[in-house]
Amino acid sequence: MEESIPIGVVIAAEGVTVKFRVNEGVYAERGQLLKVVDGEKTFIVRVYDPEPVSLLAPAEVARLSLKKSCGEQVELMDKQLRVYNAAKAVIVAEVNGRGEVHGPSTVPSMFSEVYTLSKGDLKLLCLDGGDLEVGFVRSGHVVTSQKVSLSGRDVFPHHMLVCSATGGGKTNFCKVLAASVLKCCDNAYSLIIIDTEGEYFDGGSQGAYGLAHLPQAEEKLFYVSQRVKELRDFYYTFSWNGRFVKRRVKACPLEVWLGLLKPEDFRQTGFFTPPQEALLWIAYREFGRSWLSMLMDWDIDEVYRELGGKAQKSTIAVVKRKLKMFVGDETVFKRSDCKVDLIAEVLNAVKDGKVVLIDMPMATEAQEALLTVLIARRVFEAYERAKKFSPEWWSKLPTVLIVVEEAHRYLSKRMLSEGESNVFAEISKRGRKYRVGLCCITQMPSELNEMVLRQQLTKVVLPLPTKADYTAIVSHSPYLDDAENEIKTLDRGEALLVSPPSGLKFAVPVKIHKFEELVEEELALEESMKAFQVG
Amino acid sequence: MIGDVHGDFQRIVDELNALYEAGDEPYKLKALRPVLKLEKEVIFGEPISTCGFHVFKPIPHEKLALAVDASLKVLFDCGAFKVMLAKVSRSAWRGKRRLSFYEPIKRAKVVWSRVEAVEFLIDVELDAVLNSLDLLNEGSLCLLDRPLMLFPRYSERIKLKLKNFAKSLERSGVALVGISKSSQLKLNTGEPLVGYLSYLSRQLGLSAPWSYMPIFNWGFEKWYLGTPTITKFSDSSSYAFRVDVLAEDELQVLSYLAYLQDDATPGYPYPVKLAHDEAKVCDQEIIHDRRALLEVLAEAGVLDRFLSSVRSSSFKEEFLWRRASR
Repeated sequence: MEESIPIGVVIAAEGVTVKFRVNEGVYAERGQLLKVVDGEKTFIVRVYDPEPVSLLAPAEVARLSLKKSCGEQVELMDKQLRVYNAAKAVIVAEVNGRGEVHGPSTVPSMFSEVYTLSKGDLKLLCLDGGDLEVGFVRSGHVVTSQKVSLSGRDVFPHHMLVCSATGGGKTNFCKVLAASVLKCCDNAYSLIIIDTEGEYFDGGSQGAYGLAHLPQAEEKLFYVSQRVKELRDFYYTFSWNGRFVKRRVKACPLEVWLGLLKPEDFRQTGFFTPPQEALLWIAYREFGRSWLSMLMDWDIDEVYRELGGKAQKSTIAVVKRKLKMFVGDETVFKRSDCKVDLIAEVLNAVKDGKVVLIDMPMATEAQEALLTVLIARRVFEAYERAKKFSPEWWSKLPTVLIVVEEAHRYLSKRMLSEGESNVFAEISKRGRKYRVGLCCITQMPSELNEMVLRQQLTKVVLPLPTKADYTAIVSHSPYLDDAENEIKTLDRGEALLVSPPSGLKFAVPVKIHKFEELVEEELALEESMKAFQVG
Repeated sequence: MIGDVHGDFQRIVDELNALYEAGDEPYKLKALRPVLKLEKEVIFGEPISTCGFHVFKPIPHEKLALAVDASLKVLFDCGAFKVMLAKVSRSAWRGKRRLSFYEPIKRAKVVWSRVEAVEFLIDVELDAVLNSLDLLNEGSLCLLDRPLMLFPRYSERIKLKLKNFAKSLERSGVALVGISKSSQLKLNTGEPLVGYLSYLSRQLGLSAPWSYMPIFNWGFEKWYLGTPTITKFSDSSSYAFRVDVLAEDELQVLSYLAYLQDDATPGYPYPVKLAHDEAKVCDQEIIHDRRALLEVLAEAGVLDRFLSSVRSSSFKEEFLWRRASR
């Protein structure tokens, strides 16, 4: 990709698409970035559909293919004229004679020549103008040396969507994003991650890396875990390159006093039906701050009597069972007062521009939902209050991004139907004003509410083989017309990045950095720095 | 009379049975003769005989071959006369390798009769070959997509041009071949000759390319420029064609031609097919050329008069082309 190589000739153009004949001996790959040179203008195009072109009649094709399938040699006179490869590509940018890049305003002339992009061409596209590096531009499956970065200041408030099938690289992307936030010199951003799989802190398995492996974790990672019982430094030791590395990470116990929870926190988890929600609110009104323990500890008849028969006994029974499901064995949500106010500590860490990692691998789905709702609500409320009552202080707060795993659970069409809302929908709608963003991670984007899909202006589309899912993404994103085939044929870690807030005016084919490689680089850098200091 | 189509079908069957019956048995072959009707004259060919089939094999070669074809379209139909557009394509080959691309040539002419239109087409085809004569040398092949015939209805000028053309190629040692995709040759029973010979070759179990000749032994020279044959170029194809050859050794030339096929279109020399495809005039070309002509007519101040002529034939054309010329 250092030098431009001729790859074809334009044979048709319409709207923002071009079709070109591919030269003999070269291939045009889906997702490949190319340029079309037409006089002073250069068009940058992204291939979305390679296809062979044949001037042969169907009967001729049938005859030849039968012959070939029978193992016979097939001879075709004038083959280059009658059968050749072509590719359709979408014009993503137009570069004028002065090197200024614009959206496409015209189409290249017929028979304009098509070339691969040179390093200089890629530079023109300004794909590396942000402060959060996420990967390299790829051309088809070939990774270039051109970095791609996002501008957190612009991207986070406008929300992000990360989607892929299982194993497509969602977690790797989030780790890469977290690493970029950790590496940011100023405290401009904060990231909140709730990790139910135990993958983020130490990688979760032998040979895998987590955020704790990064040198920047010591300064900027705030670790919430059941592994600590009080607010303190947590030491994590690992071996790398034949030496032991010890990290000191600020840690906080994962425990939330039930007294802090309100019916709205439970409602927004989506686990309760409307009559059950009503019971939560009635209990809260009748019993005050002890509403939860009353509902959980008293027997059904007692609750029924105390509430004056305002709820059915069967409803009370179901709600009691569900509340116990949330509280469980009190590993996360505790009836007794906790030593640390987790919410306050999280807000502090956010204020300081840290990456907050809430590590809860043993938690149930219900507990994860409740904690996610709780944290999101408190952070959003805090930012909202700060802007309304102390705008100057608010302006100094870092822009915060809340990572919501399995986002379809909270932002599904069903959850947000008929005027229903929750904190995530609220953040989607109003978070931009307060610099609170959502990073929705899902493997089922088709399940997400359409309004929410549209509001997530930055989309990281990793492999998505299911038609409903990639169709939903294509329908609600700019620059992804005709990208269906590309989306479903992406390899693990390959993405199409759409981010108008970052100034990217087309769907950028990206190879997301492999987090493990980033960590290796950082560790090597740390080692060389240490050697330099010792020297 | 209100008839029944099934009854008609039955009558068709009876009629065809009567037609085919004549050639069904080998002993009846001698009674079958090719017939060529040219205006008032009828030429009878030699009785059909299995000895007329000559089997041959494609001969690989690196000979130069020039294939020329032309198509004709009506630019404007003015009733009494028509403005015709001819597009001629050429392709030059060395063996199976295409030597060069030629831009098709377009010509236009006012014609007053069908014969004049045909002669216009012959004119442009021959001119295209004559312009490329420097390509051809002894042993080369010149392939046309038409019978090598001097129809009585042709003008003396065109007959002379055809004769001179054939002579000049013959003098240069260039083999001239005319391949007709359809043929009017028939048997004295009325059955098409090409169809009958294809049928007969299957009955005889011929599994290689074959050529049937002679079809006529005498009396055809004044109408023909070459030897007429019925030829099947490939056993993979079920089609046979009338192929007229002007060369010393017709079978050898046919063997060379058979080599110029490929697996996509077995049974037909690819250079001729390509020339035919490239000579096609598409609708956009017609629109473009119509506009161009109207502009020239407007500049010359005869557009209104011309459109009146067009109007005499077609409301649509007058309406559309007046607008297009603005």
